[in-house]
Amino acid sequence: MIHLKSTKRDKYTLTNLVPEKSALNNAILRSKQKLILCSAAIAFSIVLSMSAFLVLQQHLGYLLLINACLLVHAWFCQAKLAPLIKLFIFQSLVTIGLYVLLYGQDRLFEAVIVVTRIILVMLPSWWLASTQSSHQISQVLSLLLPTKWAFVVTTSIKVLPFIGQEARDIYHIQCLRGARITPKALMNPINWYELVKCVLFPLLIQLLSLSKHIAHSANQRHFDKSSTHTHWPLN
Amino acid sequence: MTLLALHQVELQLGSSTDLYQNLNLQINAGECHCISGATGCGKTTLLQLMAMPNQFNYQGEITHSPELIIGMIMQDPHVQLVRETIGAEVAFGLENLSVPALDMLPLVEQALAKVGLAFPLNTPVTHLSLGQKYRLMLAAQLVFEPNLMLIDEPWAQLDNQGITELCKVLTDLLETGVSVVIVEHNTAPFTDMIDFQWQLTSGALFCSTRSPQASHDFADKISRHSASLCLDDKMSVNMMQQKNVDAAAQSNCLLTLSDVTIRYANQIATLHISETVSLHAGDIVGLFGENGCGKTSLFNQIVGVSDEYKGQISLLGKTPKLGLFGANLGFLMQRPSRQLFEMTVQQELEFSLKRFGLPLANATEILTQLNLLPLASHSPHKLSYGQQHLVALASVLCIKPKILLLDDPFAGLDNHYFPLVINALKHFAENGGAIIFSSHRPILSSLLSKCWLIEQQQLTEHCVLKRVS
Repeated sequence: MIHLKSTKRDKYTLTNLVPEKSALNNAILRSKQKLILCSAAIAFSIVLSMSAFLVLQQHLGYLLLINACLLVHAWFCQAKLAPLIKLFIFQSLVTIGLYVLLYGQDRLFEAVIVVTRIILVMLPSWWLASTQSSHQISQVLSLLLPTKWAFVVTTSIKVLPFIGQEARDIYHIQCLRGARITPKALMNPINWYELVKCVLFPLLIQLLSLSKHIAHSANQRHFDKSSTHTHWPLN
Repeated sequence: MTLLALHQVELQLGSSTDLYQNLNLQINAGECHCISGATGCGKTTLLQLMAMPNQFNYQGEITHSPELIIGMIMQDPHVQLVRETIGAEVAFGLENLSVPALDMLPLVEQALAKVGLAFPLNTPVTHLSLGQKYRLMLAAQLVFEPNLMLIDEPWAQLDNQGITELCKVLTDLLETGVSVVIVEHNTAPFTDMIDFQWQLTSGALFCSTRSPQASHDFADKISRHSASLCLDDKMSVNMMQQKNVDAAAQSNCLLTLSDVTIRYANQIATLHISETVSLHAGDIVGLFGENGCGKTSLFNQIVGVSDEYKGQISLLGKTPKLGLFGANLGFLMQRPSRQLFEMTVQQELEFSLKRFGLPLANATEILTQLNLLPLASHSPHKLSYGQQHLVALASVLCIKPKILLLDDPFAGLDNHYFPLVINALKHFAENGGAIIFSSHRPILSSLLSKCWLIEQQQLTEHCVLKRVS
C-alpha cells in the first residue's frame, strides 16, 4: 500500500483527476494505440502458443528464442518471474518423474521435449497477462467473443495474482498447522494427497466463493442488463 | 415513497432450516436502517435477498419500487473489484449501461469526488489501502446514482479514519434522499444517522429498543479505549525498555524484535522497529495500526512465512523459519475460514493434534470452552463467517502453543461469541501462553499487558494502564 495525496474532500478539484482537454485527447489517443498493440499481442500469443504444439521438433529452438525474448520483455515490465520459474520447475519434475516411472530412462529425451512444449504453450499467455491490462484484453476480446465470455476470460486473468497469494497463504498456514507438505515432506509421494486435501481443496472453495462474489458484484452493477457494452476510454 | 418492502418473507437454508420466518421490512426514501443480529443469523443473506431476490427461492412478497436503484457493498471489497485502475473500476457500471465513453469521465470524477478519493483516474487499485478500496467500491455504486445503499459490516473492515470518512459520505447521501441499510454488530459509530434499528432474531426482524447508551455496549466491550485514550496511556519507550530488561531477567522471554526494518513487496514503504520490543510468557500484546500499516507483514516475518526484513527477530531463541516451531507456535491469519478443509468441525481441530502427536481430548475441551460443541459434527464449510472464524481459532488454540499470533481475530464476531473468545484468550495467557493480536483500532486495553502501536511506519511499545472494572 502506498500513501497517496490528501483525500480531504474540500481540497478536491476536477483537475486533480481528469487531465486538461488536450491532455485528455492525447490520453485517449494513447489508449487507442495501446489497444491496437494489445490486439496484436493477443494474436501473437495465440499463434505462439499454438506453434508450441504444431512446430517440428528441430524448430523448437526458434520458439525457445522468441519466448526468451518475451521473458526479458516481461521482466522489463516488472513482471515477477520467480513464481513462473517455480511452476516450470515443479511441472518439469512431475512430468519427467512420471515418464521415468512409467517408461524408464529410455524415453527421458521425449519427456524433456514434452515439458518444453508445455512450457512454450503456457509462457505466451503469462506474458500477455503480465504486460497487458485485463481491461484492454477485455475490450479486444469483446470484439470477438460474447461480452460475458470476454468478461470471464479477462477476470480470470486479473484474479491470477490473487489466486497465487491465496494459495501461498493457505500453504503457509497449513504448514504451521503441522501438515506434511513442506518441500522435504513432499519428496514422499504419500504426502501428495495431503497437499491436495489441505491446500488445493480449500483453494478450490475460495475460488468458487470468489467467482460467486464477482458474479454478484458484476450483476449488481448491471452487467447482464444490456447486450451491448461501451468501454472506459482511459487505459 | 416506499423503495423496497419485504412482506411475510420466508426462506429456507438448505433442506430443513428456516432462515427467515414472516420477515417484514419497509424502506422509504431517505431512511437509514441498521440491522444487527447474532453471527450466522442471516444478515448478509438478507441484504443479498433485498438486492437480488431472483437468486433466492423464497416465499412471501418482496416489492421493488420502479424507481429503485440499489447499490451494495459487501464485507470484503477485494472480492467486488473487477478492474485494475480506479477510473475503470468506477466506470464498470456505466460500461454495462452502455454510457458513451466520453460521457463516463465527468460521471466517474463526480462519484470519486463524493467519496473523497482525489486520485488520478489511472491510479492502480492495488495501490489503495483497504479503507480507500472501500470508498472506491462506494464510488463504483454511486456512479449510477442508486437511491438505496446496502452496506455489510463496515466496522469490522475499516479503521477509525475509514469509518469517519464513510459516515460523512453516508450522511451526505441521506441528506440527498438516498436510503441506507447497514448490517452491523457495532452500531455505535452510526448512531447519529440511524432512523430505525432492527434486531434479526429467530428469522424475524424486531425493532430494537436499545437506548443510545446501550448501543455503545458492544463498542465499549471491544473498544474500551478510543485512540486518544490509548495515547494517554502511553509511557515512554525508555521506561518500557527498562521494565522489559527486568522482566526478561525474571520471566521467559519468548520473542524479541531488535532494530527491525521490514520491506514491503513493492519496496516503497517500510515498517521500522527502532528499539527492542519483546514478548514474555503470560503477556497479551495488542498490535494496533491503521489499515495497510504492516501488521500482517510483521506477523509474516515473526512466523517465518516471509523474510523481507533486516535486523534481529528471535522467536523461542531461534531465527524464524516456516515449520521450525511445530506446536509451540499458533497463528490465526486474516479470513481464517481459508484454512478449513475437513468434513467436520471435530476433525478440523483434530488435524493439528494428530500431526503434532497431542491428545485428541484437547479438541473437545476447546470446543466446550468456545461453546462450539453443538457444531462438532457439522461441516465447517456450511457455517457462517463468524462461526468459521471461531472454528479456525479453536483449531489453533487446541494445540496449546507457547505463542499465539492472531491477525485481526475479532473481525465479524458478535457480542455472543466475543466474550467466549476473550475468556479463552485470558485462560490461555493465565496458563503461561503469550498472545499478540492485531487490530486496526486500539481495543481491549483492560486485557493487555502492553500494546505495540504502529504510527508513521514506526512501531513503538507502550504500557497500557488497566481500568479497574
